[in-house]
Amino acid sequence: MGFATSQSSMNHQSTQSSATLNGTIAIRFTLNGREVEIAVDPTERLLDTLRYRLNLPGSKEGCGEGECGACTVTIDDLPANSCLVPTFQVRGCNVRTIESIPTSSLQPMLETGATQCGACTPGVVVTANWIKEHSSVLASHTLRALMAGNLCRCTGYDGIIDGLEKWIGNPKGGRP
Amino acid sequence: MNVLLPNSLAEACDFCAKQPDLIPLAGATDLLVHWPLRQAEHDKTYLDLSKLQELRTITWSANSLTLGALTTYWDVLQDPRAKSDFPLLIESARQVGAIQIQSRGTWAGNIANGSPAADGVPVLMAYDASVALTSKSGTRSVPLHEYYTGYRKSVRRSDELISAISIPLRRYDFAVFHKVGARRAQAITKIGLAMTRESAKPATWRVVANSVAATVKRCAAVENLLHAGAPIRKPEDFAAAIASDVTPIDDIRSTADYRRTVMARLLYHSLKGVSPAIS
Amino acid sequence: MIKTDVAPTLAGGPTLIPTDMPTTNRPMNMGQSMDDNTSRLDGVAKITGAAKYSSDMLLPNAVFARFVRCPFGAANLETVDDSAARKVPGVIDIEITPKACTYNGQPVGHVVAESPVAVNRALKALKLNWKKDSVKTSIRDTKQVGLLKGNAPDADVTIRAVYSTPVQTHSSLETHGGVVDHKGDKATVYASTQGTFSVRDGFGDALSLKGSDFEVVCEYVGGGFGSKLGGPGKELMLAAKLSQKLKRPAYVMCNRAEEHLDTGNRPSSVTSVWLSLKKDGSVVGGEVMTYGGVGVANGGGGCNVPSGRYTFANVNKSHEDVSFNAGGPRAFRAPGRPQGAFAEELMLDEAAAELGMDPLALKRKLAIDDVYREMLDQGAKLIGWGERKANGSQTSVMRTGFGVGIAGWGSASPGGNAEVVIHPDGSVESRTGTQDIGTGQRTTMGICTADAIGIPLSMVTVQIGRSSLPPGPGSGGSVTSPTTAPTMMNAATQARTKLFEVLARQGGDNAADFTVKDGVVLKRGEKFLSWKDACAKLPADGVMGSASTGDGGKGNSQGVQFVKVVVDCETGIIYPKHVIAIQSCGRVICRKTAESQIIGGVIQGLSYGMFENRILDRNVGAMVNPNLEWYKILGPCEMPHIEPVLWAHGQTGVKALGEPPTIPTAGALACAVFNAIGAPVRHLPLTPDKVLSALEGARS
Repeated sequence: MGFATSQSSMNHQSTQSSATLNGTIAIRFTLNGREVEIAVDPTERLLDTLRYRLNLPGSKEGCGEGECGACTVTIDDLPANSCLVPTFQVRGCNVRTIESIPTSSLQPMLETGATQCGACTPGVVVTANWIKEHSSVLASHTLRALMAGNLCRCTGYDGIIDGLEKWIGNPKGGRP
Repeated sequence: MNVLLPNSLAEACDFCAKQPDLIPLAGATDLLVHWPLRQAEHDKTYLDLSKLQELRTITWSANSLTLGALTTYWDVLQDPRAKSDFPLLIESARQVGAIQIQSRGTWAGNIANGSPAADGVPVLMAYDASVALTSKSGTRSVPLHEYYTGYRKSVRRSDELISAISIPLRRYDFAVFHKVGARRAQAITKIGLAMTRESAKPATWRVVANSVAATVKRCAAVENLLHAGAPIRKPEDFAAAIASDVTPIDDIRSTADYRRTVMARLLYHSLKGVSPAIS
Repeated sequence: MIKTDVAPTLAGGPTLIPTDMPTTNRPMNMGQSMDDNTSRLDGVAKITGAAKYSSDMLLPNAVFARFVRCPFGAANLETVDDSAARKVPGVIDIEITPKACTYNGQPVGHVVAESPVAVNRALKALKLNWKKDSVKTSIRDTKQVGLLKGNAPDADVTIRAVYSTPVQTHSSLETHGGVVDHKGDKATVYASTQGTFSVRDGFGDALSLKGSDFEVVCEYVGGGFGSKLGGPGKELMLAAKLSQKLKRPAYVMCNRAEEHLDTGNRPSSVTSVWLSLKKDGSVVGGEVMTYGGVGVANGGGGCNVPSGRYTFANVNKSHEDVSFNAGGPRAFRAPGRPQGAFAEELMLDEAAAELGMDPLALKRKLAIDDVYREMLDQGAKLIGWGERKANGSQTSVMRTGFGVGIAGWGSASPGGNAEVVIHPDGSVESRTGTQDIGTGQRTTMGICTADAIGIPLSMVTVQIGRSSLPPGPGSGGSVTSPTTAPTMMNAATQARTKLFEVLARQGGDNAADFTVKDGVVLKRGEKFLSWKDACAKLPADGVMGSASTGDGGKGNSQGVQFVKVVVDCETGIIYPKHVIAIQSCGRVICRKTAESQIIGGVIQGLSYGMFENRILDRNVGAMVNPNLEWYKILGPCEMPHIEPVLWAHGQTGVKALGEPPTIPTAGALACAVFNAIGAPVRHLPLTPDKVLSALEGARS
């Protein structure tokens, strides 16, 4: 059985790969602005750690293979599918989930009907918020291309794109 | 599951030398697909390279671009010089999954994973990239088009790691990358094609196809046609060369016939007018 | 020469999404609804991730379980060795019953453990000895379906063809299942369901509790599209049994693969047809044989052609459901309709081509009523049908095509109940147990209440999705709004009347003297009291109105859709550009959610037409693409410009909106592709290889 005999270090910047803690890897990272210290099974995905252990169920599991984006979080300020990240890889990183996004700025996404059943929505909003915070990427990418990793089975993407356009104040950004 | 967490490339090479079956891990975007279901993979031992900052480098020198093994697609998309000097890198990086994958997936991982549908590999091959393989005993360089030996097989020894990808800086007067997938984004390729022509005299063509053979494939017969200046008047004129270069299969993404037909058309329509022989 | 388009455009094709028209704030739909501007009441909860779905109910001390499933289409589980699995740390119990299985994904038992990781490890450690059997995996494995013979004696033209559609899985983002928290004499069931009350009524011994002793909660449901109708389902039944036995919360949610294999689908279909027409386009005879691919189910494969939306004289219909080794169907957004409409619309376009007629003219002639004709005329203008070129007349690489299809829907309301309470502080509570699967139920109930009473929506709170609330219908057949809207309005009106009675008693007036407008209570037309001051006169408990609607109220609904596509004839890739979706809506409650329903229907129809296909391995009957990587659904980059048109035209009553907009889309898309390339692609999905083959066929 694959319980870990990992060689790890509490601080990834130390020069010595040190011993294991009950087959788990002790890591530290910043989660939504707070320092978190946790021992993780090496097979744990970041999505599992967030949902099952850190009580942050806003990130959803839609497909488990990086297609649907419902589990999108940002890691060191870049969007990532948390279902494709082994938790031990975020040691020392800055992770932000849907739970960290200020609600006050979300009004445009609401008004354009960017949500229907809502299961894809947290992932959509994390990607959208990242675009909003880095709107210079729109010089080289269309909104649709940037949103291509977030699938929605029911609403339609137009409400999402339109909401984003209003949100970032770039009404021409979404039409490729 | 065992994970080794080296703090340097040297330490990583030490681990590799001691344990021949280590699986190097960079962005993990291929490994973790359907991870909970793939229990057999959970019993293996992994070497996590993700924190080795020395591998997260993009270096421009007088005659080459070197991508450290942890360079992601997004890193290249953000590089101010890549678009002008190696536009196909940008083209293909945009089409690897979406931003969530581009931000984690690495060019070296795309090579190492060895999928015949790899989106990053054809353009690297079309730019004549070579792979730096590093072990305890040093680093050797292998041309990317000689890297693969079969379906998901390569010349990399188990004690070696891909440490970098080096791309010679050359002048190209033609470069094109096509990907035909199911969707316009987030789709595995049904057929892909990267082509370059060096401006030097005589011009050197490189034609690379993916999803049409057991590996990403340099198409020698097509290149020969182009170098010979054979007259091409319709897509079918590439048929014989394609037949000798690639061996597509029917799978759930498409059919062999479709792949051959579309490859001929992509070639013809991309090249029409580029050389006087093709019209 | 550097190509910068995301997808290949060869030989100077047009840009891929040419439109920059506005997609929301649609002026053509303004002023036709009770509420043009309200956004979803639960939008904030959804957008912030605060909304708790059943799959988010990670309760303390919970156990996790998963089914052990047959990996093949047909196999006998002969022996089970679970000794290693039982030793996996965290495993609580394993129950497996050896048996013969007839489809991939069929459960043979389950594993229950302290964590999802332990469950997966135990599943892997199981040693199961399966003996494979031979499989059948499609309609055609059982039935030889060829061209039918026959024609009407007075026909000018007779067409014959065979059409087919694949299995489409619902692919809701939230999978099936839920959590049961059994506390001995009470229980809470967190269900991902389209039927709060059918779940409540379906547990039996699994919970061993009266319906009044447990509550079914489904405040948020991550999509269902029909697959979550009915009783608790095997996932919740297992959770109930485990929770009752272990006295701990039990969490059972499918993973994506299980979701594809064993939670229903739209069945495949094969339609063979001959159809005879006169030169003027009238249909004078024909025969339609349809087959529904129902997997291991015994029925449910209906294929709705002829649909009854076109006048066909002397056309006989027969249907047969065909079983094979695969998971069976469940209701899926307009069951039987999209597959039938695909055959019917394309068949008519093929007939029109034979007759040398414009297919729009033919469909306009054959449509059963003037509502369709009026919609067809309006849609033709909006899509620019005048730019349509004759079938197959284009020679460029990128060819443009236009197609049209029509839809109809009607199903009877099952009846429902609602309560409205007006509190002394002026707040108003609307209650109905019906769930919201994404349609906007919470929002429409609030709007109905506010509108019926005459107060701002901000004063209304809405409670839905709990079995302790007044029973309401399951979200199926597009009956939810047609049922609950009038019920809720009646309850609100009744509560308001009770308020008026209190006011009348206190002032010696008649209740009929009062009314409410814009949050102000009027007496005989004059301002009497503010809403708050009026409510302050209520007793501490406030007043409650309650209403029930019996069955009957029908939400019959019609629609037409026009699709414009560009086909890349070198690669066979099709690019939908523009969709006009006209839908009769009766009285629209909430413009935004109504438009959203129509757009969602169109998207699923396009996705069905272009990508979706459950593929089974012909040798072992296992699904080859039980994921979202190889089972593609439409993404944001393939979205055409979709214009939903709410078509009221004096209709009253709330009409069905959920299902009809997905009926004609794939058919209209296929017609548009036929128009562009001059050859019909008769088998969905319209993948590039089929488009190229059709083009080759047209050339030779």
